[in-house]
Formats: sequence, C-alpha cells, structure tokens
Amino acid sequence: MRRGFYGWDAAELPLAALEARAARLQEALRAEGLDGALLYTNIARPAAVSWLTGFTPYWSEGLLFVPPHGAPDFATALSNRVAEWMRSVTPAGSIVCTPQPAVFFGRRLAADGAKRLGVLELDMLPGGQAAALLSAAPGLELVDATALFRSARAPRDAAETALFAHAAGIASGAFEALTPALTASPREAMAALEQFARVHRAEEVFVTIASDLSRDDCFQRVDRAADPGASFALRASLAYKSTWVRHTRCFSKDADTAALFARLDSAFRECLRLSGPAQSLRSQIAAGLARVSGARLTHCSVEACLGSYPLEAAALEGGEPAAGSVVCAKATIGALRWIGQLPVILHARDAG
Amino acid sequence: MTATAIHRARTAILQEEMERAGIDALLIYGNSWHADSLRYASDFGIQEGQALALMARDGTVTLLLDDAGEADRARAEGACETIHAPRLIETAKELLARAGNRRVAAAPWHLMPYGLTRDAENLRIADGTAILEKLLMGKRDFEVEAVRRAGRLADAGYEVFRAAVRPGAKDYELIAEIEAFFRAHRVPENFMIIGAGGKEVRGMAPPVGKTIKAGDLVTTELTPCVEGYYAQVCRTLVAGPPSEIQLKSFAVFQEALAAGLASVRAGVPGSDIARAENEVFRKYGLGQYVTSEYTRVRGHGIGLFPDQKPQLLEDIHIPVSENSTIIVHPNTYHPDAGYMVLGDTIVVRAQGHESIGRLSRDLLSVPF
Repeated sequence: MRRGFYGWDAAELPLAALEARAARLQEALRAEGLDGALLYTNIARPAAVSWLTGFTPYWSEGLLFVPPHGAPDFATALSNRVAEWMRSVTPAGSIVCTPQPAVFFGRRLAADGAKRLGVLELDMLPGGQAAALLSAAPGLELVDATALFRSARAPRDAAETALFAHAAGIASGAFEALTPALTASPREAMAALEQFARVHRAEEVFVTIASDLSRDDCFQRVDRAADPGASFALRASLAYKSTWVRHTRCFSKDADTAALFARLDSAFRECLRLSGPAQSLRSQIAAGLARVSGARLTHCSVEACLGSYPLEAAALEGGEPAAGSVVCAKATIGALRWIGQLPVILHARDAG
Repeated sequence: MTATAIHRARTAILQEEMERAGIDALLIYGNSWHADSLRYASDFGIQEGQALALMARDGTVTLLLDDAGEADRARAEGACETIHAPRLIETAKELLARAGNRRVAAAPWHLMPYGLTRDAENLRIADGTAILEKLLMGKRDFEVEAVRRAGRLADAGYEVFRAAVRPGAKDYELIAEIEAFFRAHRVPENFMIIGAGGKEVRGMAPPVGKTIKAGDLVTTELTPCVEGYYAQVCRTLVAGPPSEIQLKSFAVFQEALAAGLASVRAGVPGSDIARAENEVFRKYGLGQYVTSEYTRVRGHGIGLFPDQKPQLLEDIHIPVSENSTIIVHPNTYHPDAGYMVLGDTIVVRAQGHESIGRLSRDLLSVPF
C-alpha cells in the first residue's frame, strides 16, 4: 500500500497540464474511431491513471474512463467515506465510489451505444473487471490501446519533468544525508534512507540491499537480506506525487574500495550529464567507466514510465524515453562489483 | 519455524488440497496489493510488477515475474524456479501448453489477467479461488505464531508512533518514524493509515500534511508483517489531556470492542460479532454511525493479506473458524468527538479467543 504523503498542489501539477494530456489521448481515440479508453489502476499499476488525474489509490483498485470528448471519470471500489479525501488529492475528472466500477462504466457505455472501447494493456486487465464490463455491455468490443496510450503519453511536459526532478532530489538527498556511522550498519542506513524520503514527502519508498558485492549484485528486502559483506549497495526506489525514480550507491568498509566506488560514481554521473541521444548511451558509459581503473561494463539498462507501471524496461538503443528515465549500469573491476543507478532526463522532446 | 519450513509446510498443504480437488496444477496471480495467494504458494513477497506462479502436483513451483529486479530477488531467495517474463501472458501460456492436457485451478480468479481468462477453456484453467481462500482464512499453528510475532511488533511500533506525536509534527513525519522503526526491525511491509483532527475528520487515509495540534484525536492502524503474515492494532490518542467528551465518546468504543470480543468463538458467523459491536452503538442512539456511510467493516480476517475474509458485517454470515486470526475493530465516527478507532488482532478459539496484543485499550494521550 501507499502510506506516504499525498497531496495535490496546483503549482506542481496544473489542471491545464492534466487537461492537455487528456486532450492528446482523446485526439488519438477519435483518430482510431474508439468510443473511449479504459485505464485500470491499483498500487502495482497506478501510473497511467495518475498521469491523467494526479491520483494513485493507496489501496483497492479503480478504473478511469476517458471519453472521446469531455472530462474523464474515475470509478473506484474505495468507499464513499474516503471520497472527500480522494477529491482533495485528485484534481481532474469526477469520482464515483461503487463496489463494481466496471459494471458502472459498462452500463454507461451500453446506454451510449458504444461499440469499441480501447483498454490500456488489455491482456493484463483483471479478468473480473473484464467479465463485469462485458456483462453490463454485451457486444462491446475491447481493443488493446497500449500503443495508442504510449504514443499520447510520450511527450513529457514541464510538470512531469519538474516532479521527476523533485523525486530525484529526494533520492539524492537521502543518500547525501547518510553518515559514516549509518553506513557502518546497513540496516540502519536502509531505515534512514526511508525516513529521510518520507519526511521529505515521498509518497512511497522501497529500500533494498545487495548485501555482499563480492558474492552477487542481487537486491533484497530487509527481511531476507543476508549479513552484509565488506562492500554492499543500497537502492532506493521512491515516488513523489506518483512519479518514480531509483537511486543506487555502493559502499565499502575498505577505504580504497570506497574511494574506487566514489570515482566510478563520479564517472557514471559525468557520462549521464554528457549523454546525447539514447543510441550511444551504453558506449558512453562503457568508455567512461573504463577510464576508472579499467572497469568493465557488464550491464546497462533504462527504465521509464510508459504505461501503467511506475517504471518499466525501456529501449536502450534507438528508443526515446517518454519522460525522465532511470539508468542502471553495472561494472566489474577484477572480482569487485559496482552498481550505479540514477534518475536522469536523457532526451528533450517537450510538449510545452 | 524458519521461512523455509513454513514454505515446505504450505506446499504440503497445497498438494493435499490439489489431490482432494482432483487438480493437476495451480496457477496463482499476485501483485503488491494482493500478494497473499502468491506468497502462500511461492513464498515470494512481491513488491513491484505482477507475477504468476504455476505449482505442479509434486509441489514444484515455477514463478514468472514481469519485473527484472524482482526476478533477480526471487532467484536470490531460491524458493522456486524463477523466470523473468516481461511478456507475462505469453510466457504463462507457453508454460501451460508445455504442461499438457491437465486440469488447472487458477486463483484469485477475479484478478487473473484477461489475457488468460478469455482463453480459459483452451488453457483448461478454471476458478480455483475457493481452494486458496479456505487456506488463507483458516490458520495452522505455524501461521498463528507468525501473526503473534507480527502482533508484538505492532505493539512496539505503536509505542514509537505515540512517542512521535509532538507539537507541530506533520502526519507524514509520524509515518516516517514508524516506517523507519519497522525497517530497522526487518519488517518489509506495513499497512497504515492515519487521521488527525477533531469532529471534521470522518476517517483515516494516507497523510496529507496536517500539523498535529493540541486537542487533536490522532487515529491510526498499524499492520506490520512477519514472514508475510500481518497483525493489526488500531488505537486513538489525544494530543494533550483528553476532554470529558472525548473520554465519554471513547467509552462507547471500549464497550463495543468488549462486546464484540465476548461474542467470538469458533463457528460463530462474523455477522454475530459485528452485531454485538453495533448493538452497543445502537443502545446509545448512535445506530446511524455503524452504517456504511460512516464505517466500512467492524473487523476482518487477517493473515497473508491485511484485510481478508471474513469481513465482519451484519449481512455477511461467514463463520470464523478455530485458529483463524481476525481483528475486531468498532471503528467509526462519533458525532461528539470525531472519528475514533480501537481494535486488536485475536486468535479464534473453540470457546472464545486469544488476544495477541498487549496495548492498553484506554483512550491514550501524549503530553502537549
């Protein structure tokens, strides 16, 4: 569940920005001859609905219906008692509390004579929602609208860029605030990262640890983490106002290794700062890290928010990240592993 | 019991259930919201993305995860064979096809992706929700022990929460302190909502940036987990000394909780427990405040999901079974004081219940 700060601030996420996003999607719907788009949301897949409304459910699930014209409507199984709270954190569209959101929209679509409904990530729509929708609107054709949505969502706007930068700042600040005493005790450091992020109004934080970089680079939650080795990595995945970033840093009890990690961090950051088109990202990072004691790049990947997932794998070569991206690089120097992961704006393709 | 032993025990139970139901395989769906069935079968506590697990009659589990980082984490835990499946549905279909002509029960059915349910007949999958639901509601001793351990952490966590309520504190800062405490004590997840204020507050929700001020009611429910098993505690405290009105209002909740707990024994319908709680409110002319306009449920089951069946409502007649774990909480709005909560996780016994929590059930307060 989400249990961090929720709140809508018109200065951060202007209603006009949300309206412009909906308008882009609606233009695409009309061009495809669709009678609307249906977007599912829960805490695991909240991103598409929050991009259009600013809202992420802290619990339960919901559906957003975007008609070809007019304002979107959000229906959720959250009870009426929390409707007032939802309205306070959700600027766009109307909110309907109903035990069966799909039936609510199905009946409306049937009454309106709708024929074709676009559904984001149709195959992943919960079967119960699909069955309820089709029972209320027999004959309605469900069409996968994933590509259509992704295309409409791709150009980032100033509000999204600013929220991404804010989230990145919280993550960066959390790591900067770690003292040597805290990093001497990785579990305390994990708690401190989470506390810093939540005090700075993160909506959610997941902190994980790769406990022993001499053994592997797998990140574990606090309950299953092995005893830390001499060198370990901490990863913070966090959201601010529904915008997710990740930040990873390596630590070592050995001063020489810690200094090496610092040089690799610096080289990685510099590669990202200088990065141009995504096509050359891997080679830029490989060359930049190689200049530090011959580090060999073993992994390079990009995540971005494209559909309903907060972050998902994005194309590394030839792709055009839709919004802020999270770049992850892994390298080895002899038997030593290093991991770097930072949020970054890779590409300028602004919608205004 | 260790995590490995718990997983082995649950696997054996599922194998027995599959044998009894004549099922060749179980297909389980999970995400970070509904992680319970997946956890039961695979022991993986999913945090990001979505997962499907296919359990064969011999107890082997193949876990499909659409998030690469989660797949790495599952492999490191080593509880089952793990496949990173960015195209989750296609990979699941391939797996089902390789499994051949078998009867597969899928759960929870309502969350099973449409990409699978629309081909249910061809894939030979059918609704197997009831198999898992029964196991999730009833608890074995090793599961009750995990809930007890979570209950002890909930109590300790509440003391941290109480100490964090200071003049000028923001609601999200209270959450930050309690979450840091839980992470430091190896608790990976916690269901938590909060309310702060007076008569204008109608319920609990995530924090919205309120500053705690003298006289506020501060309500919360904490729900940490151990090995995936949750325990919940609901308490109300006052910032500063409680007023006579607050104390008098809270006495109704104390009486309702006592009445609800007194009605608990194995086999009793959840509706009877809800009715026992609600009769107290009705006795004081507060009947309207136990309707859905003001409150959701009067308690619920708890285990691998923090809010599982049976929901305690007067119109839901599912009986509570012996050794099941539930929370009884007559949380609602009181017109004289505002929204108040009070509740404890218990184990249902043949002739009563066992309380898990040890916190005082008084209206608590902190100096302001």
